[in-house]
Amino acid sequence: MADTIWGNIFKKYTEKDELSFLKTVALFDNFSLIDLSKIHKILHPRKYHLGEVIFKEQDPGHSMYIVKKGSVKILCESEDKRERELAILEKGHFFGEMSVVDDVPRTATAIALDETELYGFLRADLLNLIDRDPRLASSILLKLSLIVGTRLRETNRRLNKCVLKEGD
Amino acid sequence: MSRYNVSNFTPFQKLILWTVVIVLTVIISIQLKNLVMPFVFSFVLAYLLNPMVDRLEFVFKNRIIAITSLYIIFFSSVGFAIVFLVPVLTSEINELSREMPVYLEYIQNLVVDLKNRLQTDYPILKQFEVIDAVQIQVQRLLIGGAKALPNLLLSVFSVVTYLAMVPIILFFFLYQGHEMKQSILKIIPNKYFEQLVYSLYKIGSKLGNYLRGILIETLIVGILCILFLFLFGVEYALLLAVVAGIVNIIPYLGPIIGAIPALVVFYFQTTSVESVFYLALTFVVVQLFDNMILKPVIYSQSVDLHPLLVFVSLIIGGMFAGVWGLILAVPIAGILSVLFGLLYREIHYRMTTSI
Repeated sequence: MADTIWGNIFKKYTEKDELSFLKTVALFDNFSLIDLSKIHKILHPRKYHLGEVIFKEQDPGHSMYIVKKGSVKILCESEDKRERELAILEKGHFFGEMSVVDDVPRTATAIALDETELYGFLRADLLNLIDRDPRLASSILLKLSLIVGTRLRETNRRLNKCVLKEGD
Repeated sequence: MSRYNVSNFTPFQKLILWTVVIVLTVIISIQLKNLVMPFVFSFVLAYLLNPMVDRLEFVFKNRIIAITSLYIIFFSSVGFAIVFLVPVLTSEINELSREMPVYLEYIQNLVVDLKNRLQTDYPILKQFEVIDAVQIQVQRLLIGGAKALPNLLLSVFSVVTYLAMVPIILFFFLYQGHEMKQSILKIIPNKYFEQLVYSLYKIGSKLGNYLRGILIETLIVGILCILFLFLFGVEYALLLAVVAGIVNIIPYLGPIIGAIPALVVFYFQTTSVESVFYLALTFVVVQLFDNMILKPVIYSQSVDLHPLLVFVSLIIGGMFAGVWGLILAVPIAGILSVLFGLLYREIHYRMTTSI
Protein backbone atom coordinates (compact mmCIF):
# COMPACT_ATOMS: atom_id res chain seq x y z
CA MET A 1 0.00 0.00 0.00
CA ALA A 2 2.78 2.41 1.05
CA ASP A 3 4.46 1.52 -2.20
CA THR A 4 1.37 2.60 -4.15
CA ILE A 5 1.17 5.94 -2.29
CA TRP A 6 4.85 6.74 -2.93
CA GLY A 7 4.44 5.37 -6.41
CA ASN A 8 1.66 7.89 -7.05
CA ILE A 9 3.62 10.82 -5.64
CA PHE A 10 6.68 10.09 -7.78
CA LYS A 11 4.63 8.83 -10.74
CA LYS A 12 5.01 12.04 -12.75
CA TYR A 13 8.81 12.06 -12.40
CA THR A 14 9.29 8.39 -13.25
CA GLU A 15 6.81 8.64 -16.12
CA LYS A 16 8.82 11.51 -17.61
CA ASP A 17 11.97 9.36 -17.51
CA GLU A 18 10.14 6.45 -19.05
CA LEU A 19 8.70 8.60 -21.82
CA SER A 20 12.14 9.92 -22.72
CA PHE A 21 13.31 6.29 -22.79
CA LEU A 22 10.45 5.33 -25.15
CA LYS A 23 11.51 8.21 -27.42
CA THR A 24 14.84 6.40 -27.91
CA VAL A 25 13.11 3.23 -29.13
CA ALA A 26 13.15 3.08 -32.95
CA LEU A 27 9.47 2.09 -33.06
CA PHE A 28 8.35 5.24 -31.22
CA ASP A 29 11.00 7.79 -32.12
CA ASN A 30 8.76 10.15 -34.08
CA PHE A 31 5.82 10.19 -31.65
CA SER A 32 4.82 13.24 -29.58
CA LEU A 33 5.02 13.14 -25.77
CA ILE A 34 1.21 12.99 -25.55
CA ASP A 35 1.16 9.93 -27.82
CA LEU A 36 4.07 8.37 -25.92
CA SER A 37 2.18 8.85 -22.68
CA LYS A 38 -0.80 6.99 -24.21
CA ILE A 39 1.51 4.22 -25.44
CA HIS A 40 3.21 4.04 -22.04
CA LYS A 41 -0.19 3.40 -20.45
CA ILE A 42 -0.75 0.23 -22.49
CA LEU A 43 2.74 -1.22 -22.06
CA HIS A 44 3.25 -3.97 -19.47
CA PRO A 45 6.46 -3.69 -17.44
CA ARG A 46 7.84 -7.19 -16.74
CA LYS A 47 10.91 -8.33 -14.81
CA TYR A 48 12.98 -11.39 -15.77
CA HIS A 49 15.75 -13.14 -13.85
CA LEU A 50 19.10 -14.09 -15.33
CA GLY A 51 18.60 -17.07 -17.63
CA GLU A 52 14.78 -16.89 -17.56
CA VAL A 53 13.11 -17.85 -20.83
CA ILE A 54 10.96 -15.00 -22.14
CA PHE A 55 9.46 -17.16 -24.87
CA LYS A 56 10.43 -20.31 -26.73
CA GLU A 57 10.56 -21.01 -30.43
CA GLN A 58 7.17 -22.38 -31.62
CA ASP A 59 5.37 -20.91 -28.57
CA PRO A 60 2.12 -19.12 -29.47
CA GLY A 61 3.03 -15.44 -29.61
CA HIS A 62 0.77 -12.55 -28.70
CA SER A 63 3.20 -9.71 -28.00
CA MET A 64 6.46 -7.91 -28.67
CA TYR A 65 8.95 -6.79 -26.04
CA ILE A 66 11.10 -3.69 -25.62
CA VAL A 67 14.29 -4.01 -23.56
CA LYS A 68 14.20 -1.39 -20.81
CA LYS A 69 17.11 -2.69 -18.73
CA GLY A 70 19.53 -5.60 -19.07
CA SER A 71 20.00 -7.68 -22.19
CA VAL A 72 18.29 -10.48 -24.08
CA LYS A 73 19.71 -13.29 -26.20
CA ILE A 74 17.77 -14.43 -29.28
CA LEU A 75 18.35 -18.06 -30.24
CA CYS A 76 17.24 -20.26 -33.06
CA GLU A 77 17.33 -24.03 -33.27
CA SER A 78 18.95 -25.29 -36.47
CA GLU A 79 17.88 -28.44 -38.35
CA ASP A 80 20.52 -30.54 -36.54
CA LYS A 81 18.91 -29.46 -33.22
CA ARG A 82 21.81 -27.16 -32.34
CA GLU A 83 21.16 -23.74 -30.87
CA ARG A 84 22.38 -20.80 -32.88
CA GLU A 85 22.65 -17.31 -31.43
CA LEU A 86 20.97 -14.77 -33.67
CA ALA A 87 21.42 -11.56 -31.70
CA ILE A 88 22.02 -9.95 -28.33
CA LEU A 89 19.58 -7.14 -27.68
CA GLU A 90 20.14 -4.31 -25.25
CA LYS A 91 18.37 -1.26 -23.84
CA GLY A 92 16.09 0.33 -26.44
CA HIS A 93 15.96 -2.71 -28.75
CA PHE A 94 12.77 -4.63 -29.35
CA PHE A 95 11.90 -8.16 -30.49
CA GLY A 96 8.93 -10.41 -31.30
CA GLU A 97 7.26 -7.60 -33.26
CA MET A 98 5.71 -9.99 -35.83
CA SER A 99 3.49 -11.45 -33.10
CA VAL A 100 1.81 -8.08 -32.65
CA VAL A 101 0.50 -8.34 -36.19
CA ASP A 102 -0.08 -12.04 -36.90
CA ASP A 103 -1.00 -15.16 -34.99
CA VAL A 104 1.83 -17.51 -36.01
CA PRO A 105 4.11 -19.26 -33.45
CA ARG A 106 7.40 -17.65 -32.35
CA THR A 107 10.27 -18.15 -34.80
CA ALA A 108 13.04 -17.87 -32.17
CA THR A 109 13.71 -18.26 -28.46
CA ALA A 110 14.41 -15.26 -26.19
CA ILE A 111 16.35 -15.60 -22.93
CA ALA A 112 17.22 -12.90 -20.36
CA LEU A 113 20.99 -12.49 -20.02
CA ASP A 114 20.85 -10.33 -16.87
CA GLU A 115 18.28 -9.20 -14.38
CA THR A 116 16.23 -7.75 -17.21
CA GLU A 117 13.28 -5.37 -17.39
CA LEU A 118 11.11 -5.42 -20.48
CA TYR A 119 8.02 -3.65 -21.71
CA GLY A 120 5.47 -6.04 -23.15
CA PHE A 121 3.35 -4.62 -25.99
CA LEU A 122 0.46 -6.98 -26.62
CA ARG A 123 -1.61 -7.53 -29.73
CA ALA A 124 -4.74 -7.41 -27.54
CA ASP A 125 -3.82 -3.87 -26.46
CA LEU A 126 -3.08 -2.81 -30.03
CA LEU A 127 -6.46 -4.18 -31.17
CA ASN A 128 -8.13 -2.24 -28.35
CA LEU A 129 -6.20 0.85 -29.38
CA ILE A 130 -7.46 0.49 -32.97
CA ASP A 131 -11.00 0.83 -31.59
CA ARG A 132 -10.16 3.56 -29.11
CA ASP A 133 -7.62 5.75 -30.86
CA PRO A 134 -7.40 4.75 -34.54
CA ARG A 135 -5.01 7.59 -35.42
CA LEU A 136 -2.38 6.52 -32.88
CA ALA A 137 -2.88 2.81 -33.63
CA SER A 138 -2.40 3.34 -37.36
CA SER A 139 0.72 5.45 -36.73
CA ILE A 140 2.18 2.56 -34.69
CA LEU A 141 1.20 0.03 -37.36
CA LEU A 142 2.71 2.20 -40.10
CA LYS A 143 5.97 2.56 -38.18
CA LEU A 144 5.99 -1.17 -37.46
CA SER A 145 5.52 -2.02 -41.14
CA LEU A 146 8.28 0.45 -42.09
CA ILE A 147 10.67 -1.33 -39.73
CA VAL A 148 9.62 -4.80 -40.89
CA GLY A 149 9.93 -3.61 -44.51
CA THR A 150 13.45 -2.27 -43.90
CA ARG A 151 14.45 -5.57 -42.29
CA LEU A 152 12.96 -7.54 -45.18
CA ARG A 153 14.91 -5.44 -47.66
CA GLU A 154 18.09 -6.02 -45.67
CA THR A 155 17.38 -9.78 -45.60
CA ASN A 156 16.82 -9.77 -49.37
CA ARG A 157 20.09 -7.90 -49.87
CA ARG A 158 21.99 -10.46 -47.73
CA LEU A 159 20.25 -13.36 -49.48
CA ASN A 160 21.17 -11.97 -52.89
CA LYS A 161 24.76 -11.61 -51.74
CA CYS A 162 24.81 -15.25 -50.60
CA VAL A 163 23.26 -16.47 -53.86
CA LEU A 164 25.77 -14.46 -55.88
CA LYS A 165 28.65 -15.85 -53.78
CA GLU A 166 27.41 -19.42 -54.34
CA GLY A 167 27.12 -18.67 -58.07
CA ASP A 168 30.76 -17.62 -58.14
CA MET B 1 13.46 -12.27 3.90
CA SER B 2 13.93 -14.12 0.63
CA ARG B 3 12.85 -17.34 2.37
CA TYR B 4 9.27 -16.04 2.25
CA ASN B 5 9.36 -14.87 -1.35
CA VAL B 6 6.32 -16.33 -3.16
CA SER B 7 8.32 -16.82 -6.35
CA ASN B 8 10.51 -19.35 -4.48
CA PHE B 9 7.49 -21.55 -3.61
CA THR B 10 7.08 -24.92 -5.28
CA PRO B 11 4.07 -25.28 -7.62
CA PHE B 12 2.28 -27.31 -4.95
CA GLN B 13 2.85 -24.62 -2.29
CA LYS B 14 1.66 -21.98 -4.76
CA LEU B 15 -1.45 -24.04 -5.51
CA ILE B 16 -2.25 -24.32 -1.78
CA LEU B 17 -1.61 -20.59 -1.26
CA TRP B 18 -3.88 -19.59 -4.13
CA THR B 19 -6.60 -22.04 -3.07
CA VAL B 20 -6.55 -20.57 0.46
CA VAL B 21 -6.62 -17.00 -0.91
CA ILE B 22 -9.52 -17.77 -3.28
CA VAL B 23 -11.55 -19.65 -0.64
CA LEU B 24 -11.01 -16.85 1.91
CA THR B 25 -11.99 -14.21 -0.67
CA VAL B 26 -15.18 -16.11 -1.53
CA ILE B 27 -16.09 -16.59 2.17
CA ILE B 28 -15.44 -12.92 3.00
CA SER B 29 -17.38 -11.81 -0.09
CA ILE B 30 -20.37 -13.92 0.93
CA GLN B 31 -20.20 -12.57 4.49
CA LEU B 32 -19.97 -8.98 3.26
CA LYS B 33 -22.45 -9.48 0.45
CA ASN B 34 -24.08 -6.08 0.92
CA LEU B 35 -20.76 -4.31 0.67
CA VAL B 36 -19.41 -6.41 -2.17
CA MET B 37 -22.51 -6.19 -4.39
CA PRO B 38 -22.14 -2.47 -5.21
CA PHE B 39 -18.53 -3.20 -6.21
CA VAL B 40 -19.60 -6.08 -8.43
CA PHE B 41 -22.37 -3.98 -9.94
CA SER B 42 -19.97 -1.06 -10.52
CA PHE B 43 -17.46 -3.43 -12.07
CA VAL B 44 -20.02 -4.75 -14.56
CA LEU B 45 -21.16 -1.20 -15.36
CA ALA B 46 -17.55 -0.04 -15.79
CA TYR B 47 -16.94 -3.00 -18.08
CA LEU B 48 -19.92 -2.06 -20.23
CA LEU B 49 -19.31 1.69 -20.25
CA ASN B 50 -15.53 1.60 -20.70
CA PRO B 51 -15.54 1.53 -24.54
CA MET B 52 -17.89 4.50 -24.54
CA VAL B 53 -15.61 6.43 -22.13
CA ASP B 54 -12.63 5.54 -24.33
CA ARG B 55 -14.38 6.98 -27.38
CA LEU B 56 -15.46 10.10 -25.50
CA GLU B 57 -11.89 10.48 -24.21
CA PHE B 58 -10.72 10.41 -27.82
CA VAL B 59 -13.12 13.28 -28.57
CA PHE B 60 -12.56 15.39 -25.41
CA LYS B 61 -8.86 14.46 -24.98
CA ASN B 62 -9.49 14.19 -21.23
CA ARG B 63 -10.76 11.15 -19.36
CA ILE B 64 -12.35 13.06 -16.46
CA ILE B 65 -14.40 15.24 -18.85
CA ALA B 66 -15.34 12.06 -20.78
CA ILE B 67 -16.55 10.31 -17.62
CA THR B 68 -18.39 13.42 -16.41
CA SER B 69 -20.24 13.84 -19.71
CA LEU B 70 -21.16 10.15 -19.69
CA TYR B 71 -22.37 10.54 -16.09
CA ILE B 72 -24.59 13.43 -17.12
CA ILE B 73 -26.18 11.37 -19.93
CA PHE B 74 -26.35 8.11 -17.98
CA PHE B 75 -27.61 9.40 -14.64
CA SER B 76 -30.07 11.84 -16.15
CA SER B 77 -31.68 8.89 -17.95
CA VAL B 78 -31.64 6.88 -14.70
CA GLY B 79 -33.09 9.92 -12.95
CA PHE B 80 -35.77 10.20 -15.62
CA ALA B 81 -36.57 6.51 -15.11
CA ILE B 82 -36.85 6.94 -11.34
CA VAL B 83 -38.99 10.08 -11.49
CA PHE B 84 -41.34 9.02 -14.29
CA LEU B 85 -41.25 5.28 -14.78
CA VAL B 86 -40.77 3.78 -11.30
CA PRO B 87 -43.96 5.29 -9.76
CA VAL B 88 -46.03 4.03 -12.72
CA LEU B 89 -44.40 0.62 -12.49
CA THR B 90 -44.87 0.27 -8.72
CA SER B 91 -48.54 1.25 -8.96
CA GLU B 92 -48.97 -1.26 -11.83
CA ILE B 93 -47.23 -4.00 -9.79
CA ASN B 94 -49.46 -3.27 -6.76
CA GLU B 95 -52.61 -3.27 -8.88
CA LEU B 96 -51.62 -6.49 -10.62
CA SER B 97 -50.82 -8.17 -7.28
CA ARG B 98 -54.33 -7.23 -6.11
CA GLU B 99 -55.90 -8.59 -9.28
CA MET B 100 -53.67 -11.67 -9.39
CA PRO B 101 -55.98 -13.97 -7.33
CA VAL B 102 -58.84 -13.24 -9.75
CA TYR B 103 -56.68 -14.15 -12.75
CA LEU B 104 -55.34 -17.27 -11.05
CA GLU B 105 -58.82 -18.41 -10.07
CA TYR B 106 -60.04 -17.94 -13.63
CA ILE B 107 -57.16 -19.94 -15.07
CA GLN B 108 -57.69 -22.65 -12.44
CA ASN B 109 -61.35 -22.85 -13.35
CA LEU B 110 -60.36 -23.16 -16.97
CA VAL B 111 -58.05 -26.06 -16.10
CA VAL B 112 -60.78 -27.75 -14.00
CA ASP B 113 -63.25 -27.30 -16.86
CA LEU B 114 -60.82 -28.78 -19.30
CA LYS B 115 -60.13 -31.65 -16.92
CA ASN B 116 -63.82 -32.51 -16.53
CA ARG B 117 -64.40 -32.32 -20.26
CA LEU B 118 -61.41 -34.56 -21.00
CA GLN B 119 -62.42 -37.04 -18.32
CA THR B 120 -65.92 -37.40 -19.71
CA ASP B 121 -64.56 -37.75 -23.27
CA TYR B 122 -61.69 -40.11 -22.37
CA PRO B 123 -62.61 -42.01 -19.16
CA ILE B 124 -59.38 -43.99 -19.33
CA LEU B 125 -57.47 -40.82 -18.29
CA LYS B 126 -59.27 -40.84 -14.93
CA GLN B 127 -57.93 -44.27 -14.16
CA PHE B 128 -54.31 -43.16 -14.43
CA GLU B 129 -54.90 -39.83 -12.64
CA VAL B 130 -52.98 -38.13 -15.42
CA ILE B 131 -55.15 -35.06 -15.41
CA ASP B 132 -54.91 -34.58 -11.64
CA ALA B 133 -51.15 -34.66 -11.91
CA VAL B 134 -51.24 -32.15 -14.76
CA GLN B 135 -53.64 -29.93 -12.80
CA ILE B 136 -51.39 -29.94 -9.73
CA GLN B 137 -48.38 -29.10 -11.88
CA VAL B 138 -50.19 -26.25 -13.64
CA GLN B 139 -51.36 -24.88 -10.28
CA ARG B 140 -47.85 -25.05 -8.86
CA LEU B 141 -46.43 -23.38 -11.96
CA LEU B 142 -49.00 -20.58 -11.88
CA ILE B 143 -48.57 -19.83 -8.19
CA GLY B 144 -44.79 -20.11 -8.45
CA GLY B 145 -44.75 -17.80 -11.48
CA ALA B 146 -47.09 -15.28 -9.87
CA LYS B 147 -44.96 -15.20 -6.73
CA ALA B 148 -41.69 -14.97 -8.66
CA LEU B 149 -42.76 -12.07 -10.87
CA PRO B 150 -42.78 -9.26 -8.25
CA ASN B 151 -39.58 -10.70 -6.72
CA LEU B 152 -37.84 -10.71 -10.06
CA LEU B 153 -38.81 -7.10 -10.66
CA LEU B 154 -37.93 -6.07 -7.11
CA SER B 155 -34.52 -7.69 -7.34
CA VAL B 156 -33.94 -5.79 -10.57
CA PHE B 157 -35.01 -2.53 -9.03
CA SER B 158 -33.20 -3.02 -5.71
CA VAL B 159 -30.26 -1.83 -7.79
CA VAL B 160 -31.75 1.63 -7.27
CA THR B 161 -30.70 1.45 -3.62
CA TYR B 162 -27.08 1.27 -4.71
CA LEU B 163 -27.36 4.59 -6.49
CA ALA B 164 -25.56 6.37 -3.68
CA MET B 165 -22.48 4.11 -3.69
CA VAL B 166 -22.26 3.02 -7.30
CA PRO B 167 -21.43 6.38 -8.97
CA ILE B 168 -18.39 6.88 -6.71
CA ILE B 169 -17.02 3.35 -7.13
CA LEU B 170 -17.84 3.41 -10.84
CA PHE B 171 -15.92 6.68 -11.27
CA PHE B 172 -12.72 5.11 -9.92
CA PHE B 173 -13.21 1.96 -11.98
CA LEU B 174 -13.64 4.04 -15.13
CA TYR B 175 -10.87 6.50 -14.34
CA GLN B 176 -8.24 4.12 -13.00
CA GLY B 177 -9.56 0.77 -14.22
CA HIS B 178 -6.71 0.40 -16.66
CA GLU B 179 -4.06 1.01 -13.98
CA MET B 180 -5.90 -1.43 -11.68
CA LYS B 181 -5.84 -4.07 -14.42
CA GLN B 182 -2.13 -3.44 -15.07
CA SER B 183 -1.37 -3.77 -11.32
CA ILE B 184 -3.25 -7.08 -11.13
CA LEU B 185 -1.42 -8.33 -14.23
CA LYS B 186 1.92 -7.50 -12.58
CA ILE B 187 1.47 -10.35 -10.10
CA ILE B 188 0.83 -12.90 -12.86
CA PRO B 189 3.97 -15.00 -13.52
CA ASN B 190 5.82 -14.15 -16.76
CA LYS B 191 5.10 -17.59 -18.14
CA TYR B 192 1.31 -17.18 -18.15
CA PHE B 193 0.94 -13.42 -18.52
CA GLU B 194 0.84 -13.23 -22.32
CA GLN B 195 -1.66 -16.09 -22.67
CA LEU B 196 -3.83 -14.69 -19.86
CA VAL B 197 -4.07 -11.20 -21.39
CA TYR B 198 -4.90 -12.77 -24.76
CA SER B 199 -7.61 -14.98 -23.21
CA LEU B 200 -9.06 -12.03 -21.28
CA TYR B 201 -9.14 -9.99 -24.49
CA LYS B 202 -10.88 -12.81 -26.39
CA ILE B 203 -13.46 -13.32 -23.63
CA GLY B 204 -13.86 -9.56 -23.16
CA SER B 205 -14.46 -8.81 -26.81
CA LYS B 206 -17.06 -11.56 -27.16
CA LEU B 207 -18.78 -11.06 -23.82
CA GLY B 208 -18.62 -7.26 -23.87
CA ASN B 209 -20.26 -7.12 -27.28
CA TYR B 210 -22.84 -9.66 -26.14
CA LEU B 211 -23.72 -7.76 -22.94
CA ARG B 212 -23.88 -4.40 -24.72
CA GLY B 213 -25.95 -6.12 -27.42
CA ILE B 214 -28.36 -7.44 -24.81
CA LEU B 215 -28.80 -3.95 -23.33
CA ILE B 216 -29.56 -2.41 -26.72
CA GLU B 217 -31.84 -5.28 -27.77
CA THR B 218 -33.76 -5.25 -24.47
CA LEU B 219 -34.22 -1.51 -24.76
CA ILE B 220 -35.48 -1.62 -28.37
CA VAL B 221 -37.78 -4.64 -27.82
CA GLY B 222 -39.07 -3.07 -24.57
CA ILE B 223 -39.83 0.25 -26.29
CA LEU B 224 -41.59 -1.52 -29.20
CA CYS B 225 -43.66 -3.54 -26.71
CA ILE B 226 -44.61 -0.40 -24.76
CA LEU B 227 -45.64 1.27 -28.01
CA PHE B 228 -47.80 -1.62 -29.21
CA LEU B 229 -49.31 -2.41 -25.80
CA PHE B 230 -50.30 1.27 -25.45
CA LEU B 231 -51.75 1.24 -28.97
CA PHE B 232 -53.83 -1.82 -28.12
CA GLY B 233 -54.79 -0.16 -24.83
CA VAL B 234 -53.61 -3.08 -22.71
CA GLU B 235 -53.71 -2.49 -18.95
CA TYR B 236 -50.37 -2.47 -17.08
CA ALA B 237 -48.72 -1.80 -20.46
CA LEU B 238 -45.48 -0.48 -18.95
CA LEU B 239 -45.04 -3.37 -16.51
CA LEU B 240 -45.83 -5.98 -19.16
CA ALA B 241 -43.45 -4.35 -21.65
CA VAL B 242 -40.66 -4.27 -19.04
CA VAL B 243 -41.24 -7.97 -18.29
CA ALA B 244 -41.30 -8.79 -22.03
CA GLY B 245 -38.09 -6.77 -22.57
CA ILE B 246 -36.23 -8.46 -19.70
CA VAL B 247 -37.27 -12.04 -20.43
CA ASN B 248 -36.49 -11.43 -24.11
CA ILE B 249 -32.84 -11.95 -23.05
CA ILE B 250 -33.63 -15.67 -22.70
CA PRO B 251 -33.16 -17.14 -26.18
CA TYR B 252 -36.06 -19.02 -27.80
CA LEU B 253 -38.25 -19.25 -24.66
CA GLY B 254 -38.05 -15.60 -23.57
CA PRO B 255 -40.34 -14.09 -26.21
CA ILE B 256 -43.03 -16.69 -25.41
CA ILE B 257 -42.73 -16.19 -21.64
CA GLY B 258 -42.84 -12.43 -22.21
CA ALA B 259 -45.93 -12.49 -24.42
CA ILE B 260 -48.09 -14.79 -22.25
CA PRO B 261 -48.77 -12.33 -19.36
CA ALA B 262 -49.71 -9.59 -21.82
CA LEU B 263 -52.02 -11.93 -23.76
CA VAL B 264 -53.69 -13.20 -20.55
CA VAL B 265 -54.22 -9.68 -19.21
CA PHE B 266 -55.58 -8.54 -22.57
CA TYR B 267 -57.96 -11.51 -22.71
CA PHE B 268 -59.39 -10.65 -19.29
CA GLN B 269 -59.69 -7.06 -20.33
CA THR B 270 -61.51 -7.67 -23.62
CA THR B 271 -62.72 -11.31 -23.33
CA SER B 272 -62.30 -11.45 -27.10
CA VAL B 273 -60.14 -14.13 -28.67
CA GLU B 274 -59.90 -12.09 -31.86
CA SER B 275 -58.19 -9.11 -30.21
CA VAL B 276 -55.84 -11.45 -28.33
CA PHE B 277 -54.98 -13.01 -31.69
CA TYR B 278 -54.07 -9.59 -33.12
CA LEU B 279 -51.94 -8.81 -30.06
CA ALA B 280 -50.20 -12.19 -30.41
CA LEU B 281 -49.61 -11.37 -34.07
CA THR B 282 -48.03 -8.06 -33.04
CA PHE B 283 -45.69 -9.93 -30.67
CA VAL B 284 -44.76 -12.21 -33.56
CA VAL B 285 -43.98 -9.15 -35.72
CA VAL B 286 -41.82 -7.67 -32.93
CA GLN B 287 -39.99 -11.01 -32.67
CA LEU B 288 -39.48 -11.19 -36.43
CA PHE B 289 -38.05 -7.68 -36.37
CA ASP B 290 -35.82 -8.67 -33.43
CA ASN B 291 -34.59 -11.88 -35.03
CA MET B 292 -34.22 -10.73 -38.61
CA ILE B 293 -32.95 -7.19 -38.17
CA LEU B 294 -31.76 -6.48 -34.62
CA LYS B 295 -29.97 -9.71 -33.72
CA PRO B 296 -27.89 -10.08 -36.90
CA VAL B 297 -26.68 -6.48 -36.55
CA ILE B 298 -26.11 -6.53 -32.77
CA TYR B 299 -24.60 -9.98 -32.31
CA SER B 300 -22.58 -10.19 -35.50
CA GLN B 301 -19.31 -10.13 -33.56
CA SER B 302 -20.29 -11.66 -30.24
CA VAL B 303 -21.03 -15.09 -28.82
CA ASP B 304 -21.53 -17.49 -31.72
CA LEU B 305 -22.84 -20.65 -30.13
CA HIS B 306 -24.56 -23.53 -31.86
CA PRO B 307 -28.34 -23.31 -31.26
CA LEU B 308 -28.29 -26.79 -29.68
CA LEU B 309 -25.60 -25.65 -27.23
CA VAL B 310 -27.69 -22.57 -26.40
CA PHE B 311 -30.66 -24.83 -25.74
CA VAL B 312 -28.70 -27.22 -23.49
CA SER B 313 -27.15 -24.33 -21.54
CA LEU B 314 -30.62 -22.85 -21.07
CA ILE B 315 -31.94 -26.13 -19.65
CA ILE B 316 -28.97 -26.46 -17.28
CA GLY B 317 -29.19 -22.78 -16.25
CA GLY B 318 -32.92 -23.08 -15.64
CA MET B 319 -32.47 -26.26 -13.61
CA PHE B 320 -29.85 -24.82 -11.31
CA ALA B 321 -30.71 -21.16 -10.94
CA GLY B 322 -34.28 -20.57 -12.19
CA VAL B 323 -35.03 -17.35 -14.06
CA TRP B 324 -31.56 -15.86 -13.41
CA GLY B 325 -30.06 -19.13 -14.63
CA LEU B 326 -31.94 -18.74 -17.91
CA ILE B 327 -30.79 -15.13 -18.27
CA LEU B 328 -27.13 -15.87 -17.43
CA ALA B 329 -26.91 -19.21 -19.26
CA VAL B 330 -25.79 -17.84 -22.64
CA PRO B 331 -23.09 -15.40 -21.41
CA ILE B 332 -21.62 -18.15 -19.19
CA ALA B 333 -21.76 -20.67 -22.04
CA GLY B 334 -20.03 -18.01 -24.18
CA ILE B 335 -17.15 -17.66 -21.67
CA LEU B 336 -16.79 -21.44 -21.45
CA SER B 337 -16.80 -21.77 -25.24
CA VAL B 338 -13.99 -19.19 -25.58
CA LEU B 339 -11.99 -20.91 -22.82
CA PHE B 340 -12.44 -24.35 -24.37
CA GLY B 341 -11.49 -22.90 -27.75
CA LEU B 342 -8.24 -21.53 -26.31
CA LEU B 343 -7.58 -24.77 -24.42
CA TYR B 344 -8.19 -26.80 -27.57
CA ARG B 345 -5.80 -24.58 -29.53
CA GLU B 346 -3.17 -24.98 -26.79
CA ILE B 347 -3.54 -28.79 -26.67
CA HIS B 348 -3.58 -29.04 -30.46
CA TYR B 349 -0.43 -26.90 -30.65
CA ARG B 350 1.35 -28.94 -27.92
CA MET B 351 0.46 -32.17 -29.67
CA THR B 352 1.56 -31.04 -33.13
CA THR B 353 4.84 -29.54 -31.89
CA SER B 354 5.74 -32.60 -29.78
CA ILE B 355 5.59 -34.87 -32.82
